[in-house]
Amino acid sequence: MSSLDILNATILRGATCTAQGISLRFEPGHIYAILGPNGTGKSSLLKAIFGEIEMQAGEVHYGERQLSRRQLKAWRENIGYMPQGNELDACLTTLEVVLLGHLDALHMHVGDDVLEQALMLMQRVGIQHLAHRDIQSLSGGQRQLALFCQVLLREPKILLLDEPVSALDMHHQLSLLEHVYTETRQRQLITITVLHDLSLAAQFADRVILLGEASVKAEGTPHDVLQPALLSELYQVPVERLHDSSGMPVIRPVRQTHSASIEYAQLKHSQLNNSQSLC
Amino acid sequence: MPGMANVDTSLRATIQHQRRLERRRWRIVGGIGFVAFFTLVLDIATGPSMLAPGAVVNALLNIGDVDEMTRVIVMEMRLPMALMALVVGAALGVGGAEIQTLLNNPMASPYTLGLAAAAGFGASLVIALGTFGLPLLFAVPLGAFIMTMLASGVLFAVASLPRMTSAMLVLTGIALLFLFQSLLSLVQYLSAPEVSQQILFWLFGNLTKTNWLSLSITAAVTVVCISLLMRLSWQLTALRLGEQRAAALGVDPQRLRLVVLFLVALMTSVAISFVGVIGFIGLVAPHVARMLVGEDQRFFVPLSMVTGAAFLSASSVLSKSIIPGALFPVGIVTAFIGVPFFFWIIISRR
Repeated sequence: MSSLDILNATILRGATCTAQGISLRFEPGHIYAILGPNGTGKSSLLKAIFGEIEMQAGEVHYGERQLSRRQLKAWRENIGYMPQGNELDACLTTLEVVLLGHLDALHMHVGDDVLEQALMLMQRVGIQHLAHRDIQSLSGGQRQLALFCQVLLREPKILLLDEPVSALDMHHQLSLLEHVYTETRQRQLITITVLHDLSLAAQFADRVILLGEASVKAEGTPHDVLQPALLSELYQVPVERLHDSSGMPVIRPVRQTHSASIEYAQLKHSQLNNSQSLC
Repeated sequence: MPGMANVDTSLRATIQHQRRLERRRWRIVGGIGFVAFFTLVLDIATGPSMLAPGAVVNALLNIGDVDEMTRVIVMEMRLPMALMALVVGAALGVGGAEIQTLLNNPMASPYTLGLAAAAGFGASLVIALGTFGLPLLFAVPLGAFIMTMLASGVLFAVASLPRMTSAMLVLTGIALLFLFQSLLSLVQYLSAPEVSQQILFWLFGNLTKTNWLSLSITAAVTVVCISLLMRLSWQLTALRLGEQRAAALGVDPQRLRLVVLFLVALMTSVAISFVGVIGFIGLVAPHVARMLVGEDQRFFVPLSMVTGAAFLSASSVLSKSIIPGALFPVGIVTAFIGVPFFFWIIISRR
């Protein structure tokens, strides 16, 4: 079992530097959550690992292999990458979308074995009954589960998930991340996911990586990293840390303008009354 | 393990469902293929010379007593024309389907990219400036072809730029369309009225100039291009999920775009060079196919092909039977039946 290593990565997006000399190590069988404010290069980091954007400097290693422009196809064979968003406007059935995960095995006739593999995955996440539905008629959560099956059908060693649950309701957030968790453990995957919900990251990630100002602000277990002082500074909002019944940290932003907004509402109200009396 | 047998039966049932769906889709392709064949027969049977059906059959099968005139009309005019309608319809149908896939835009067709306008300009140049000693029958298609290849060259160059999106490619196509249209107008403006008339006549798509040679060339190119496109079916299906996802699935979107653009440009250029501008098939055929079988390219491409073929063949029959004894340019007819049909599709999809 090899680890994925990023060494001294520098990533430029236009004129802004989203990573400067970042080094990280990812071990199999673990979920890594990448956290940080908008525009700190979380997605860029995933894209760099996938080879979609070129790094200015630095290396990415996985076992014997090293990421290089020339052998991109071979490098990507190990990677299951789910880009942001789940809008699809294709007239395809759910099964067809999942099958695309196994692109190299598909011909004019798709054999029973490939269909079986795809359907088994769909059964595991509970969407087998949607196999012949139009992908566009599925809910956002169901669609994301289908795309997750598609990625798993590639039998990746490394899973890159870019905000997989941002558009989902609580039920589907939990169900998708629960499947991500199980598959990561069972298949000994290296799972790297960008998340926005810090509390959700605390629940599912083995380790969290906090990005900010083009560098790694903190890295470690959710317990150690998700400190209110650090988060407040990074996100520019006051934050309080609570704990759920199992002792997991729950991060909640504190409303700054709460008292101010009440005053404002009262002012509005009195102005409204004044203007009415004028009429 | 308990429940294993249960799991297995539900899996089996879903696979069987999939097989039924596949068979149903092949039946649709076969059904429309049969319609195309039926219109082919009608197409051969009808014509301004109003031959008796019996004589046509005899001439086709070369049996019985057929006079020379009938034989020439059937074998040298009607048969190649009718077959050309199928081949050109197929080429335009598949061309439209793949351009729509490539540009991720259901309103696109090979004409959106300016290919037809380029062909018109090329043909008009040859008609206006002369053929440099070549027979007109070949010089005009050649001029049209060279100009469409030139337009495609510009498209390739743009498509191979780094970070090129399909939206930018559509814009390039529209720019080319306007460029060639204005150049065509310029040629028409500068040339004598008779020449201008001739150019105008070429612009209405027309199957009447078909002979066995032009048919064989078009058929060969179309067969080769469609076969090559069929081999890319799954990659093109993956492209429907967006370029980023397609790349994540192992497709090289940039390379795929260039290959498909080349094949489509070649196939449609050859077709329009010989028959002129026949609109609407590249737009309507893929829409019909998409409604009936979805966008799994294994079915989408063959169905776009037979739908395009049936559509042009039926238009050809109509072009001969609107006024018996007269023959309308088929390009006018395709738009006439295409537009109401297209409206119906748009409205029924609300």
